Amino acid sequence: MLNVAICEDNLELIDVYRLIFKNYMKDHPEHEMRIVISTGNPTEFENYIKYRSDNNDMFYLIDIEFADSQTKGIDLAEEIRRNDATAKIVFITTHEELAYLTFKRKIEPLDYIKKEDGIKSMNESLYKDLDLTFQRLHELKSQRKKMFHYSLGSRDYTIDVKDINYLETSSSSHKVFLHSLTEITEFRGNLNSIEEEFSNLYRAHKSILVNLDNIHSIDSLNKMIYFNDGSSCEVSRRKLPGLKRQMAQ
Amino acid sequence: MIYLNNIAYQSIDFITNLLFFILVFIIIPQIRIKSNVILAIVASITFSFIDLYHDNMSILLLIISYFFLFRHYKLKLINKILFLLTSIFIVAFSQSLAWVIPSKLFDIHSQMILILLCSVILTYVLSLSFLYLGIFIVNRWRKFINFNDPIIITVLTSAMLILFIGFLSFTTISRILKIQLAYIRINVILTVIIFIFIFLGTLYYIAGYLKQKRAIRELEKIKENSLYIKELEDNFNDMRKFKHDYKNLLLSLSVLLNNDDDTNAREKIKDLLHDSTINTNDISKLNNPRLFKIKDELVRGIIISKIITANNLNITTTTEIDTDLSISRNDSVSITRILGILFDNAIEACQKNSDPTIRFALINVENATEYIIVNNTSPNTKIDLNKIFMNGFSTKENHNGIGLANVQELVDKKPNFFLHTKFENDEFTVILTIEKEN
Repeated sequence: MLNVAICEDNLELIDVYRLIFKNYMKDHPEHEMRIVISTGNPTEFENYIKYRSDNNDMFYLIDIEFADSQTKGIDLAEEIRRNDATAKIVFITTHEELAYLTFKRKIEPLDYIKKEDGIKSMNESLYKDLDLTFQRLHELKSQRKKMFHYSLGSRDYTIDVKDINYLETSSSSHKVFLHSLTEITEFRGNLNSIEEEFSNLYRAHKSILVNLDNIHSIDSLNKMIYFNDGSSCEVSRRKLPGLKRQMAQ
Repeated sequence: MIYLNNIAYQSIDFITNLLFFILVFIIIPQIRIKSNVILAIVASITFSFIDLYHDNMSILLLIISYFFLFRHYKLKLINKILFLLTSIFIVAFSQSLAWVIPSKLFDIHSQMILILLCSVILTYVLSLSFLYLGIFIVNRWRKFINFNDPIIITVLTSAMLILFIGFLSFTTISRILKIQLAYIRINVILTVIIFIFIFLGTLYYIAGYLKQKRAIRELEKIKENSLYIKELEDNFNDMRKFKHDYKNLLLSLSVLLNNDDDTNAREKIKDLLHDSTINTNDISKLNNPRLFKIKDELVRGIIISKIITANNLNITTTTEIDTDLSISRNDSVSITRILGILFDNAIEACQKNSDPTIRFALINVENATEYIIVNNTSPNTKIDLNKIFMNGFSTKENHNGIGLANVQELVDKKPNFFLHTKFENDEFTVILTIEKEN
């Protein structure tokens, strides 16, 4: 069951959104969903966020600015994120001067919908967002993806293990570098505990953990490992036979 | 005899009432107009008749007619009350004083008329001298005390009110006890004593009040000064930037002149003079006022100057600066160097796109500060992130691609700095997270 919650200060637009959701329900009878709250009053909405009793997955549709309220959409979204890391949040806005990066970092919204684009485009965006929501919920439930977690500052990050090429410790500080298909990032940690947790990560070097699933080839002569995306890392002579054995399995 | 006495008392009453109005006109010259003068005379005569039948009635009527004088001239109520009290008090006090002296000199029963005449003249003389003395003192002190200050006016009015009530109660008591004449002397002496006390008290209070005001003014001055210093600092930074550009230009000029090619040099100088890069109004191109609120001068400087550079290259820039930012002094040099390189890279990389865009955000999270630089690249670029960090690599040929490797080196030196680079959908994102030191 997916709960839909709407907060928008224009009452006519609320009706429009409700209609879009109802149509989506009609078109997709296989998905279980319902609108639990649709209000123009941010305080009422905030109360709902704070005191909701069920454990259903949430889909929030929030206007960023409220004309006659001190509360802003971002405050509501931050409140939501504090309690629910997986909630799907979609912002609606008329404001061009939207602090895009700040929102993205603080809230990690699913989408932004611009009112200027018109009802038709809104309709399409919402359909797309709902499709994506159900797809992600499905993935989360069926596959039980193996996720890698780390934290920086007060923020928690997750990354799909299958995207990781290798992890490496820095020589100068207690930092671990994570090399994935699209990003390189660093965080505080040590390889030993990571090695214990993930069976498909292999210690190829004193300071390197490689993801066996992403290895394309091994250059024994130069003691290098090549990954599917073309990137590479070192392997120690002592660990080479073990790695080859693992790969053969 | 009684009849004569009545006439005498009535004329004294009239003369006293008139004295009150005269004092009022002296204190407030603005209301000394023809209609008011006539009104004062008529009122004085009428009230003296009424006084014959209703003792003390005239004082009430006097007060009412006093307020009636301000038909055309507007004055604050508190000022009106102060002037009223002053006038009544001076008249009443002079009258009492004027009774004491003649009653000593002449026999009260045989020379009544003489006493009356004498006291009336004395009342006038005393009243006017008291009033002019008061005006003289006020004018002398005007330099030091602002008599328009509402608080000082209130204090003066209260002091006058207390004095007046004190005097009035003495008079009333002596009247009730029917010892008016005998005790008039004591009355006068007591009033003088009270006056001295109240005068000193008021003076003391006003002095304290003025001291406090001066302290507040001084504080404000200090605040203004610091604002001014801040402004100077900003101007100085602008100047420094200008000087930097200026030096570069001079350098390029000197190279040209060394080549001994005069026409070329002259042309170049002409170009440079019209060049917009010397424009010091660059700052106004920055549309985000929060940029100037970044407290650290170095970090603020690098961000602003790089954004200006990007703007001058027709790169669309957006900046988002969070509130309540804190940048540690220990980190600011490293942050500045890192941001400088990252911005240079972003500026270079995004120019391959037809709509070059750089987005910058400075975000404050609970235990960390995040610097985010996002730039677009030419469509369908393939960047190997791992190679970017190696010395000598750059997506642009003939470029010293030591940039990101340098950044990594700087980040490695700081245990609380964390670098995150990401390349996805033709967009390059670098996030520098700085954990706050506890």
